[in-house]
Amino acid sequence: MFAVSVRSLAKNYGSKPALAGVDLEIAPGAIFGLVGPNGAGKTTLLSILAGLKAPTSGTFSLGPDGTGIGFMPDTPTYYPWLTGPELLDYAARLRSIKIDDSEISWRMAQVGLSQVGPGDQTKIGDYSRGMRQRLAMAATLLGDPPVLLLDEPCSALDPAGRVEVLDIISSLAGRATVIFSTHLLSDVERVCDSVAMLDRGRVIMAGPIEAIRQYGAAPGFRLALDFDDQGLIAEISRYPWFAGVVAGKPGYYTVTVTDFETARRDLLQLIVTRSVPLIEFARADPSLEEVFLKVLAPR
Amino acid sequence: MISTLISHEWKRAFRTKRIWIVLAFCLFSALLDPVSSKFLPKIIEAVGKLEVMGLPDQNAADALKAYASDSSRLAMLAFALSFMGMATDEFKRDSGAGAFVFTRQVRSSSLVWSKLIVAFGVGWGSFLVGYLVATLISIPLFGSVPLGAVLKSIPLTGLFWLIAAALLVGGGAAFRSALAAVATAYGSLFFLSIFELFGVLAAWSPTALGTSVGPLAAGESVVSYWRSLLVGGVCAGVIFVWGLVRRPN
Repeated sequence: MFAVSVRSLAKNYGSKPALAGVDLEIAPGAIFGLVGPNGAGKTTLLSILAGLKAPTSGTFSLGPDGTGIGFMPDTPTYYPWLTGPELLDYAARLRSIKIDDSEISWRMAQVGLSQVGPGDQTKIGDYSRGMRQRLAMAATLLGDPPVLLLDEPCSALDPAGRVEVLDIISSLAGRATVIFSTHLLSDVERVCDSVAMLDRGRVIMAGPIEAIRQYGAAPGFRLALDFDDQGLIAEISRYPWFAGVVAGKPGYYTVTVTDFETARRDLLQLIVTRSVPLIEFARADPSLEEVFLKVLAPR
Repeated sequence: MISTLISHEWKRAFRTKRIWIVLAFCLFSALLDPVSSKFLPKIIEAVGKLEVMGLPDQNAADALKAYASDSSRLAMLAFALSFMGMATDEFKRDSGAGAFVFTRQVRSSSLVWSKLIVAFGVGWGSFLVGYLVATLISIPLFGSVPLGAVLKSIPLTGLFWLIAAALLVGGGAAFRSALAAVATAYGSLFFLSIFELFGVLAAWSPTALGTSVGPLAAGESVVSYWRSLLVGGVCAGVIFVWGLVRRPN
């Protein structure tokens, strides 16, 4: 049973397709990242799942009964004439949730708005963009909905705010199914357990983060030495499993290989034999960004 | 649910000062029209000796009709302009407040109804406050007012403001554009008021509902306004139902 299931979802704006047959299945409790270039269809997909747009064709289901969605838009422009606590109170009433001042204070503090208590008279219109985004997060989490759709939830936040919001998202793992779109692949790597890459309205790759990272990546190792040792590199390049080397700053190399296990054994032996002043020896996993750029390279 | 939405729309009307704008226009007309009805013919006569204009002396019914007529134009325009944003805000669902409301399982029909109730309440309520003021001012100015006609006209003016509010809110929900909301409300009423220029068709203009106090004071029957109600009701009904059933893009 999937928490979110999307089948052949398509959406056209006039003659222009925004989604061209999207299929996704997301397990309950997953933190699912949605990445892709501008215009890939991320916001359209989330808007359809939230019920704000009608699909041209295809079907989708959310949770067992399709209710209890929390949606955070990418540009939260709430009623500028309300205060933040009033907005939370309104949101609670719309969901038939009883909420008191202490819970409003707690919700505000949860998203880093502890300075905005129930008595605060600052109108949302006077909030900074980052404050509005935090408030949006608080309103989205109200009532603990089982499915959360977050459209670029960290786009207006400073680095500290981003970490706070990502920590909140991480803490939801297992309790709610979260789909969030972002341009920041490091955010996805930090909190998501699975990801889908969208391009021109299609899912071009989807799956667990670890599996995605390995896509098309040559196996390799990261070597960091105390000094630049060209002799070691020359020696490594003579092995049959050697595929290539990329030098970083002096003493830092990424060695790609054709046979991971043999290369690991030989490299460790070589390091010991030569008494190499080693700082780091690790498997070189490609970052999501590398995979992303590789997959989205002109096809 | 609907009570939450209505109280939210009321709060919006007060916090954004929309209610005061409409009320100010109504009070302006209410203060000015009885005085100008009483003294303008005399001033013109004294200053210009323009008997040729043949301005007859005005009575309280004329003064109240002038107020109702100005309200249905000036105050109505202020009403349409100040409530156009309110009528469309949440129906732009792409982001912000619209997304916030609709993803909390608020049916768009509930939203349309709540906006209609508040827009109607503000519009008609402001009109009635002005009507009361105009009536009270008319008593010392003219000696008496046609109270029976005033009372009979109140439900008819209510229907007029209900039609206007339904056109505005229905237009906003149907077209999701503030400009389209105003054009639907003010444009429809303006277009239909052209009927008044053509003698026999005058009775079919919905605007006649708003200015009924004059004819009622002259002995016209309330029942005779069924044609105005029919035309206005059908126009507003079609637009409003369209706004009610409009689906997401």
